Amino acid sequence: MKLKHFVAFSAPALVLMLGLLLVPLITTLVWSFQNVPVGQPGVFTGLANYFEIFSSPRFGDATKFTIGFTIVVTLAKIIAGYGIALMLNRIKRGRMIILGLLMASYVVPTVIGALNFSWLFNDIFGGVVNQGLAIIGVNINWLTEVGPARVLIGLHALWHETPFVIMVLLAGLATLPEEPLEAAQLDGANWWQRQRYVVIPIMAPLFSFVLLISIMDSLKVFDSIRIITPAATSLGTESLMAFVYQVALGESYRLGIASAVNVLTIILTIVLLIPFLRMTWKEARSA
Amino acid sequence: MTTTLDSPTVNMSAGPSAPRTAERERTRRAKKLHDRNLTVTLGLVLTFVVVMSLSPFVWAFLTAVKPFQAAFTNPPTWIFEPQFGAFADLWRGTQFASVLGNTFLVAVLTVIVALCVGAPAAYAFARYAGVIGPILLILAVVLRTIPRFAIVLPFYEASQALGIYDTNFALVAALVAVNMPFTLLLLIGFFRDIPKELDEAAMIDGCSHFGAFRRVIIPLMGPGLVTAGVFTLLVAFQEYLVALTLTQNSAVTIPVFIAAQKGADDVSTYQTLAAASILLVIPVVFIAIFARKYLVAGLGGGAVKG
Repeated sequence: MKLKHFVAFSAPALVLMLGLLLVPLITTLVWSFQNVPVGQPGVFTGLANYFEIFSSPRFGDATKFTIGFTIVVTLAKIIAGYGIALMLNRIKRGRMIILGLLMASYVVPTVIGALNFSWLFNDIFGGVVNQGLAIIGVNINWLTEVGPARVLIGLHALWHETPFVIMVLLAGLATLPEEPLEAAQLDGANWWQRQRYVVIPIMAPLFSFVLLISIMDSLKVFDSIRIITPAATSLGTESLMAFVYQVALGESYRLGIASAVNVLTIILTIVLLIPFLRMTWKEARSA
Repeated sequence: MTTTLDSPTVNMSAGPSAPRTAERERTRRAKKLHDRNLTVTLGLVLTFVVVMSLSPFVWAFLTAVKPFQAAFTNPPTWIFEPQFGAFADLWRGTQFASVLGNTFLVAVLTVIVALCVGAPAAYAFARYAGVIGPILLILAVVLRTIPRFAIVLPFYEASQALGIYDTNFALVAALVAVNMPFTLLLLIGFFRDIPKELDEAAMIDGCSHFGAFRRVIIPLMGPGLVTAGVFTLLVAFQEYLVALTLTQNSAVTIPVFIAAQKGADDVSTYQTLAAASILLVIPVVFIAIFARKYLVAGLGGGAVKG
């Protein structure tokens, strides 16, 4: 393909991405150095927004919660997702039906899923989970206590996003080459050894893909927090994005501060992305 | 017999002897039994997982069809006369129907624009050998991962200034833009799987480059376009953050509507909320089951290839 044709085919998408993604992104960067009241042009204030953020304990709490949430939920999702994918891969009859039903919690709009999920923990709606826990003598106020509220947000993420992990890893397991597995079996490798030295190394790209997506999505967690814990600030479940919303459109209209948080989140994300970007670059060049 | 037992090599060359075969048959049967037990156990575990995973929806359904007094008792009421008044209330007493219609309109428009703009570009990225392709691809990956607020807050400000705040136009534009990198990534994977020789053959036969794309490549892209279309549709349908930021009344979509109803925290709306959840869960799950093949292909192929 010649450059001329490349430009002709990709121009609409490039113009669209330039105008509707890159320009807003640059605006965010500029705003992060400005005091921006809604509806008025910003006034340059240097690094004031960044100083304010870094001295704000609320931002610190939001960062800590978001990073902790990301680590715990990502690990839990991958372990649970791989376990379920392995089980699904072993059975033949009903596999597709089970997979389809498991996908429900993933494809349902997050807002609705989070709402219905939280009802199981809400005494107004009968609190089925609380009833179950009461049998073993445990009483937890999921929606009003800091620790349990955090656990609840994590459980929701696990329930909502594990099906994605299952789907990707099961697709990998289903297309696993047979020769290395047979060779390992002939050499007397047991199940754990075959997993450790054959299956998981072959599936490594899929694991890193799932890991990447999970980290990116978890760092941006927002919908479920708005629905399950509207009072996130006092419940210790305020994520970076929930903080951004509150600052920019909720309790105040400080677009400059919100943009500075966005910029910091972008930097964090890109740093985490670097290994994956190098992989993509190499593959695109060789293709 | 003793010789064969002592030296397995001789046994092998002489063919299997009777006790050996019986023993092998026994282990084979034992293994088969073990396999069957394992399958049954796994089936039970997986059924349990499915039940757990679906329980929030089952509970929402029960809440929707319980009589009002029975819906909010603690401990829960299990025996009741089902009634469907909440569905009627939802349809007649709230904006649900019009919001649902608008959400479909927005989602379908988003899919159409995203595919019309995205497909030619993805084709170009998949075919062009120069260095621009990979750079744009990296950019697309980065744009896919950055927080949406970094894009949407300037959108909010600009749409206010242009007087298009709270319109479907602004919402569709934002949804197409925010999802474009992902649409591209998904489609590029599929275009790469179509051999270049096909384009060349079509052009030798007298097609222009665009003609080759339209007449030869697009027809082969059915599964790829369906995958990208289904993904974009689901994403546009369920997008909360973008719609929350850019709409207020007239362009509101289902997630924003549900969240607002929930936010009102009024006991009398809880059952209509449950009814709305169920009405939305069922079609989305059907789409997902129906399109699962394409979704798996998209995630396993397009997206992983990056």
